Amino acid sequence: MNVIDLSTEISGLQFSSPLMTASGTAGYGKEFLQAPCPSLGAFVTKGISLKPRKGNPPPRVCETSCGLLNAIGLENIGLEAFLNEILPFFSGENPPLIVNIFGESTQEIVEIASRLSKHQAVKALELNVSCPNVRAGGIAFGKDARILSALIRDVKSKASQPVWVKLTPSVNDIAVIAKAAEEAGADAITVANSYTGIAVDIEREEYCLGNITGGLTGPAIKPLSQYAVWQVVKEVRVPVIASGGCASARDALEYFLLGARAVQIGTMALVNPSIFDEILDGLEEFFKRRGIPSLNNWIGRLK
Amino acid sequence: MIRVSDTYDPLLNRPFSICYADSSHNTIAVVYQVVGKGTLMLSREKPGDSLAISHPLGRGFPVRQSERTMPILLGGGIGIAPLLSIFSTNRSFAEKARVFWGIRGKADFFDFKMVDESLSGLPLSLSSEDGTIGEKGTVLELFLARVHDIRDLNVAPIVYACGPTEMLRPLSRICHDQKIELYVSLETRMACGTGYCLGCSVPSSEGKYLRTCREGPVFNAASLSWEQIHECH
Ligand SMILES: Cc1cc2nc3c(=O)[nH]c(=O)nc-3n(C[C@H](O)[C@H](O)[C@H](O)COP(=O)(O)OP(=O)(O)OC[C@H]3O[C@@H](n4cnc5c(N)ncnc54)[C@H](O)[C@@H]3O)c2cc1C
Ligand SMILES: Cc1cc2nc3c(=O)[nH]c(=O)nc-3n(C[C@H](O)[C@H](O)[C@H](O)COP(=O)(O)O)c2cc1C
Ligand code: FES
Repeated sequence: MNVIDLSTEISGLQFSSPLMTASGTAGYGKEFLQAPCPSLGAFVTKGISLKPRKGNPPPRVCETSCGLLNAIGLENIGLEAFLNEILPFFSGENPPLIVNIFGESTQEIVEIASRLSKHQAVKALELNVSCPNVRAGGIAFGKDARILSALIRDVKSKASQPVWVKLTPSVNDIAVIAKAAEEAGADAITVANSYTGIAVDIEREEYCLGNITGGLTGPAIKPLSQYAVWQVVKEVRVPVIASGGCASARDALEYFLLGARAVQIGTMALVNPSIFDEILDGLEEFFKRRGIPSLNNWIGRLK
Repeated sequence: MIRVSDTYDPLLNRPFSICYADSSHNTIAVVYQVVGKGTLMLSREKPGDSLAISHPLGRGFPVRQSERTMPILLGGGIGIAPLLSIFSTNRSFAEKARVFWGIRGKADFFDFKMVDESLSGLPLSLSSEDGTIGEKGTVLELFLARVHDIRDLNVAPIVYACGPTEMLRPLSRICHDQKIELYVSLETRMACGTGYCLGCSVPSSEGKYLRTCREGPVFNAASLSWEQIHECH
C-alpha cells in the first residue's frame, strides 16, 4: 500500500486534503497563497461583512495558558474590496476558496451571500453566526435556534454555493442548534468558534484586552471543541468540520475519529506556518503504520 | 519572531528586533531583556542550540542618503537594540550618526562591542535616571540639551527612536514642534508577526489601524495617533 487517500467530501465538494485554514488566521488568501500550499484542502477567508469594519481598540491579543485570547472585532476590508482586490487573484491553481461571511442583520448577510453567489471562484460560504443580531436586541444569531433557522433559510434561498454554518460554542446545547441548522438547510456545520473569556492584569489593575472580553482559541480549548463535535455528530447527518485547538496530526486524528470530515487550523498556524505540511505528513505516516487505506476508513470510527 | 519553546505554554512566538546583521558571516544578533516566561526560557538556551525563527519581518528604518542630514539614534533602555541595526544595513549613513541612550541605571548597560566589534567607539551620549552611569536624567533631557548644537551644524537632523511609549509620545511632540523628521520603532503585543491575525494594530493619524508587524514596526511618527497609543504590557 503506497498512497493513502486523504481526500474528503463535504457538501458535494471534493477536497484533496482534510485540512483548512480557520477564518481570521490567514487573511484573505492573496498573501498566504503566494507560496503554494498543496497540503491545504481549502482556504477559508477572514470574515467578510458588507461594509469595511475598523475593529476593536488595542490591545487586541493576550496570551493565556496554552491559549490565545483575541478581540480583533472582526476588522475586515468589506465585500466591495474583497470582490475587487482579492477575488480576481483566485484561480484553479489555488486550493478551493471558502468565504467566511457575517453581518449584524439578516438583510446584510443575505446581500453578501447573493452577491458572492455570482462568483464561480467561491466554492462555498461559511456563515459565522457568532455575531450579534442588532435587530434582535444584540443576541448572536447562533444562540437562538429559531433566529438561526430563519437566517439560514434566507441565505440558502439566495446562495448558489453550499452554505456551511459555523456555530458558536457559547450556547446551552449545541446539538439543538446544530439540528436546527441542518433542518433549515445548512450543507455542513463547522464546530465551533472561540470561547468567550477575559484576562486581567493585577499589577495595573486593568483588563488585558481593550475590548475587555475576547475569544479564547488554541490548544487550551481542544477538549471543549471536541466535546462540541462529539455532541453535534450524533445529532446531524450533514458533514461536520472541526475547529478548535488542533496543533498536531494527533489532534486532527482525534477529531476525525470523533466523526469530523475536515479540520481547520487557526491559532497554531499563526505560530507555525508550516503546520499544514507537518500535519498532512503525520496523517499519512499514521495511516501507513496502522495499515488504514484512507481517511474515510477512519472518520467516525469511535461510536 | 522567535519560537521560545516547543510546548504550548508559552504558546506564541516572541517578537524581537534584529540588532545587527552580518551578511558576510550569515549571522544576526538579537539583544533582549528577560522580562517574563518566554525571555527566561530563551536565556536558558545554550550555545549551539537551535531555535525556530522567522525573519526579517516588517519594515526597518528608512535611510536618507544626503549630505545635509544627520541621523540621530535615540534609545530608551533595550530600545537601543533595533537602532543599532542601521550600522549593519547602511554603514556610510550611520557613520554620521549621534547616539543617545537612556537607561534606568548601571545594571541596564551593555557594551555595544558585545554585539559586534565594529560597534565600538560610537559617538554615544549616555544618561541614566539614577545617575549611576553617564549623565543623570532622561534621554529626552539629554537630547534636548544637544539639539540646538546639532542645528547649528546646519544639517537636518533625522531622528530614529525606540523605547517606552512614555518616552516616544513626548518625543513625537518635540519633533513635531521643531519640524524634525522622526521614525519610531513601536512595540505592541503580537500573535503571528506576519500580518494575518490583526492583533498588533496601532491607530493611525488618519483614523485607521495599521499593523505593527507589517506596516511597522518602524513608523513615521506623523502617521500615528499618539493620544491613542498606550504602553505595551
Ligand atoms: C517589534 C518588536 C520588537 C521587539 N524587540 C525587542 C528586542 O530587540 N529586545 C527585547 O528585549 N525585547 C524586544 N521586544 C519585546 C519582547 O517581544 C517582549 O519583551 C517579549 O515578548 C516578552 O516575552 P516574555 O514571555 O518574556 O514575557 P511575558 O511573560 O509575555 O510578559 C511578562 C511581562 O513582560 C512585559 N512585556 C511583555 N511583552 C512586552 C513588550 N512587548 N514590551 C514591553 N514589555 C513587555 C509585561 O510587563 C509582561 O507582563 C520587542 C517587541 C516588539 C513588538
Ligand atoms: C485572530 C483570530 C481571528 C479570528 N477571526 C475569525 C473570523 O473573522 N470569523 C470566524 O468565523 N472565526 C474567526 N476566528 C476563529 C477561528 O476561525 C477558529 O474557529 C478558532 O480560532 C478556533 O480554532 P483554533 O483553536 O485552531 O484557533 C478567529 C480566531 C483568531 C485567533
Ligand atoms: S501580529 Fe498578527 S497581524 Fe501583526
